[in-house]
Amino acid sequence: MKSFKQIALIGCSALLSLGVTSCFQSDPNSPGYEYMPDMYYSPAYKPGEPNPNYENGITNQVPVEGTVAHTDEALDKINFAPFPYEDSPEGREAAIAELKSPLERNSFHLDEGKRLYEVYCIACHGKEGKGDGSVVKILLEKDNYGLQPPAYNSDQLKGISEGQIYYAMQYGKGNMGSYASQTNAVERWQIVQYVQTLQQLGAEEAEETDAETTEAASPDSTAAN
Amino acid sequence: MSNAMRMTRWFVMLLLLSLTGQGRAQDIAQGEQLFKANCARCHYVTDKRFVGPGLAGVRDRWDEEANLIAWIRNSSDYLKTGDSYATKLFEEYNGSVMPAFNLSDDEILSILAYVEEGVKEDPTISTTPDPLTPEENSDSNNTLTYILIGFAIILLILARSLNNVTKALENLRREKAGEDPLPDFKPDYVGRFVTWAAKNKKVVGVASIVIVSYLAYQGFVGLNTIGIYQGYQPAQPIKFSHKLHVGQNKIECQYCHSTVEKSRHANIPSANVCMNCHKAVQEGPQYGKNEITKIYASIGWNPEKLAYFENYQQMDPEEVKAVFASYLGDDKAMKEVEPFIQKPIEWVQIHKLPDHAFFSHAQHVKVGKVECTTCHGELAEMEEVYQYAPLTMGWCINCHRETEVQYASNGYYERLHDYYKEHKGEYEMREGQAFTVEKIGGLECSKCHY
Repeated sequence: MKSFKQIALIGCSALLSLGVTSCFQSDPNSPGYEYMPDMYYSPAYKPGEPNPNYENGITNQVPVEGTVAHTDEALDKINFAPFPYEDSPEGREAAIAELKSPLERNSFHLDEGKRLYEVYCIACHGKEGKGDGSVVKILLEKDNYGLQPPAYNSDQLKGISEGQIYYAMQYGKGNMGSYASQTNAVERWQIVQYVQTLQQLGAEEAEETDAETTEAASPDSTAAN
Repeated sequence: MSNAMRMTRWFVMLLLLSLTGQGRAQDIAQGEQLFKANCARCHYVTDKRFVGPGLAGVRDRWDEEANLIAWIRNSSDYLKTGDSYATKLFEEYNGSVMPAFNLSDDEILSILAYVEEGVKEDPTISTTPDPLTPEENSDSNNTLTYILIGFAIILLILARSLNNVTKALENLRREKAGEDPLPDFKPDYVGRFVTWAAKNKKVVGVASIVIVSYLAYQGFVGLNTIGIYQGYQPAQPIKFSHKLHVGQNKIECQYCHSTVEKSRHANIPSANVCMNCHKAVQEGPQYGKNEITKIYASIGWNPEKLAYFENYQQMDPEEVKAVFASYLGDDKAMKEVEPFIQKPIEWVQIHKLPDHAFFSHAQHVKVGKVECTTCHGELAEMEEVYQYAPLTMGWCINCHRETEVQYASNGYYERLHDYYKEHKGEYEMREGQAFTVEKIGGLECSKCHY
């Protein structure tokens, strides 16, 4: 009887101290305590912080219109180049007719374009540009078919010029927003290169299969493809 | 109603059906196909605005069907005729041109037939809430505490009543044996404890050792967490779910945090990036309109007209409030949206390094090819983000010691790689030694502190 009491007492005291310490558990909204935080914070304002020195109270000011970030000497020429086409029907027509890519076609730009495409475009346009991205698929489930972008190799898009593709990224088109804030000019042109290969997707296969069908004269091969 | 009248009615209806029904079903099916392929990207069949106007009753809005057909086929050509309604439409939708379509009159008519039919059968195309699985709020921690407290109370009552039972039984025994009954319960706890403790010094000693060592251990753990924010999970102004956006919708991290490979900082996306999708997606699966409307209030998007307000920052706040109040139709939700009107969204920063340590996201993500999840945890499963890594210096150093440099086909390290190849003799590495970040100066003080 006595030993039971003793064990019970020890157990109770352990529980009590557990209870006491658990009261100190931190509030998720507070990061916790700091010890001599003098060197943790410099007086400079960090990006994303409120800033009383500006009228709108934001540290991240929008750069002066027309400024371009300095990146790489070779690519700066493209990023610094002015974009003379306005966000208007006339500007669009002009861009479609005249705008040409300043990048040469090579595998570096194409690979970069693919990588960037898979960051910025794939969610809606899908891996092969068929308009079946992950976001679109979810929206299609709730029958919101209006949000499905057309396939790049559809009749509607397979013929559009590189200027038109670039213009759509610069200013947005329909439900697509502008990507000018997320990408720079070089990156957009790299994406254009990759999108152009997606426009051709199926065209070569179709030609090949056409050739095959004429040679082998078997209509099954087209169906299989 | 007499039989004769009923018969006549049926007859008339049958006659009408036989006249109009033929081919109409086919028209509508064809129209539906054409509509989905050509029009649905910008128009709803209801009266809801999208990129273009809602098409319900479009036939009634145009005086002549021929004009409507001409307008649909090539709107920019038709605009040149100077039709007042067409010009008005063009201006109302900020001069965005409807593309020309290579469709025959019959095809356009079948689309129009589908539009008329579509309104009847599907009035709620976009207003149905998203069927995606709504997440239950995780109150599991709280409920566990309540359950434990409940158990404790039940056990206490049980102990008390059992005690009473034993006392009653003992008294019964004593009564039979002719002894005095047990004395009444004395409430002098402290006095009783002191006398008891004086008698049982060993037990008290052991108990105090247990308590003191436990408190010392907890104190040590507590001191170790000073200045470490691991697990910090502040409430954010918008209940943005990474689990939904990354886990289900599979949007890449860099889509929103796009400066992560160009800058030292991973940016918090500005509201225009949200609008890339939320122009069209106005309702979420968990919170409906409420949370998304906060973005609209901040950036100045009119969700009823589906267009940005003009000169939003200069507008009268009351006027803006009225628009959002009528859109939400819910006072409680409106209260939450109000602080966002004409104001930036003040997200709460979670991961903070002290200012005396330099860290560059670009260096780690673009050059080092470190996955986001290495330091930030499985965001695809985080409803709310918390600080996953301790972000201590020991943690940084440890990773620099263990991580091998990914220099293969990595342009950034090409020169370094070539240099080591040329000076093979000087820098020969021991067999089996990993080429870690430490080897290229990843432990130098001045790399991060300067």
